[in-house]
Amino acid sequence: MNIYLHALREDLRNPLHIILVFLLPIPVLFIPAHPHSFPFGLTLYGMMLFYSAFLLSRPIVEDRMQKIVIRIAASPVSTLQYLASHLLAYVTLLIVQIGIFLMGSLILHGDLVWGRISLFALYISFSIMCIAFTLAWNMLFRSFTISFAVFAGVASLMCLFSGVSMPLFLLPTPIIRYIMFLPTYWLPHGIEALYHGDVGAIAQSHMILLAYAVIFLLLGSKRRL
Amino acid sequence: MHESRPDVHPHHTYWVLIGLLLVGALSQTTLHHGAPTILLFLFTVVSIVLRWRYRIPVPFMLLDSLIVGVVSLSYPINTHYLPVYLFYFCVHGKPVFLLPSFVVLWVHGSSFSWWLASFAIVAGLLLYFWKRQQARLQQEIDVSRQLLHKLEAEEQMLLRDQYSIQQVSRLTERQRIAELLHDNLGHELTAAHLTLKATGTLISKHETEKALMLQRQAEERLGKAMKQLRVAVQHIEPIAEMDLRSFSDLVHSFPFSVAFSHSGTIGNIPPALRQLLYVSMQEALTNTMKHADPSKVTVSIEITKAIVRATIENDGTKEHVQEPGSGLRYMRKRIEAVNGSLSIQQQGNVFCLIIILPIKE
Repeated sequence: MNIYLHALREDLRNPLHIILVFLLPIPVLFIPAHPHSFPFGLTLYGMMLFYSAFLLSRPIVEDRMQKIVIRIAASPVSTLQYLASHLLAYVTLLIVQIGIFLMGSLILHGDLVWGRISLFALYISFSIMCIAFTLAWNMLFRSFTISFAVFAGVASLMCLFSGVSMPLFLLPTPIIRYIMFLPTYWLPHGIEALYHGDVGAIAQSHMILLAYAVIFLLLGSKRRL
Repeated sequence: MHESRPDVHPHHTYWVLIGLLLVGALSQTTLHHGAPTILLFLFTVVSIVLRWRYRIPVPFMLLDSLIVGVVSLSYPINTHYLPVYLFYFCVHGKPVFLLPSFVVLWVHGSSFSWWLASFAIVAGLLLYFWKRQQARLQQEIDVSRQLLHKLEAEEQMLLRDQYSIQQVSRLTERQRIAELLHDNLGHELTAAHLTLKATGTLISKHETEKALMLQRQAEERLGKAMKQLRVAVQHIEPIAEMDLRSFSDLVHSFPFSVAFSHSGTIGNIPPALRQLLYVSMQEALTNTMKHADPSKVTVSIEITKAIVRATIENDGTKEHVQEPGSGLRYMRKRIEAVNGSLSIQQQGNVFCLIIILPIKE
């Protein structure tokens, strides 16, 4: 619990984090809706979630860079406890962000958006996948700056090609069967399924997002001193 | 020094082949996209990554392969993922576990999935034998390393023994000299000393005749003592000519011709060092006989007041010496134990050993 609270405090100590995480997603709510779909801001918010997850995971990378992780390894705190507390803290912050975003959506979009509880659950699955992805991603780098620079490029491309920052119907059909292997694809897919009321497709999105999360967690949780 | 080289280990090959099998499976399944296919792909990846992170007993993988098999019965395109499991079982030497996958492949397998399965089995078995061979080699290396360690320990023990034997022989020699001086010289000198004292007393009493007689006796005794001293010194000192002959005999006992030269007095070398020099030269010449086909061998010994320098040089060396063998290593240790040095030089086929031993510490 102490580590969890410490991780929360560490993230909230930075005012820039508060602005980026809690206020930046609001402008995307104003993006107008396309006929026969939810407002596009709901999909684009996935990109905000992706970047927010990356920014929030900074302390875990810095712990490794500043060799704090070695001291943690020598302490009675297990790696699992340390990682679980941190990741749970990040998920908590993202859940708050999702809550704020959906509240904004309720005020702004009203009846234009339905199934908000399902949407909330989908965003949570997506945010878990994003945190797991950033954990695995940061394992590849020793410097947060380099990691962020490369991530910014890769994440933008991932979001562009998987229908997060560009509507899925604008993408050529032959590409779709390949981009299905991108984890980010399953958020717009789930939102579209929610619009059409396809419960099976929503469940598939959840399962695939969580399967990706498991893979990334397994890759990223390997202790690297 | 070992050169750094990129080693390929079985586990590197394992990951490359797993990647190839997954790409092979994906190349066939992407055309028939659908959530079950992607889920099964992710399930296969989770199975593999889970076993990378944690040590899970091999039979548990059977459960995973059964899940993929059962799903493949409903979605036959997914049989392409079965070769990944076949490969895993082959790598871990469990061919019996291949059977359920074979049944599914028999029912629904396409020609590509059979091809992929054959590749997985061959690659997996090759990797299994490679791993086994590597483990065996590693075990042999470990045993050799242990033996080497044991030999080094024994070498150290022998050096210690040699040092203590030197100490014992030095003490024995000292005792022998003491006995020699006491038994022969001691008696005569004591008698001469007493006689001279008595002579002094007689002179003070003006008994000149008797005093002169005693003085003559004392002179005789001192003369005898001097003669005995000369004999004793002859016994104590090693005979230089004989030692020089033993070195000369040594160098000429080998089947090749040796140019032997020396300067300085061999008798100046302490006996222990002389013995060390002798065995070192013996080892060097034996090595020359074993590892060279010499046309010219030169042995020279230079003795100064402070050091002995011995050079053994030969041509016709058959191979370049990268690291000294056990004989040379042991020789070096023995020489270094008396604060000496051994230098090994090789230029082309000319091999040269230089031994330097300090006489005075």
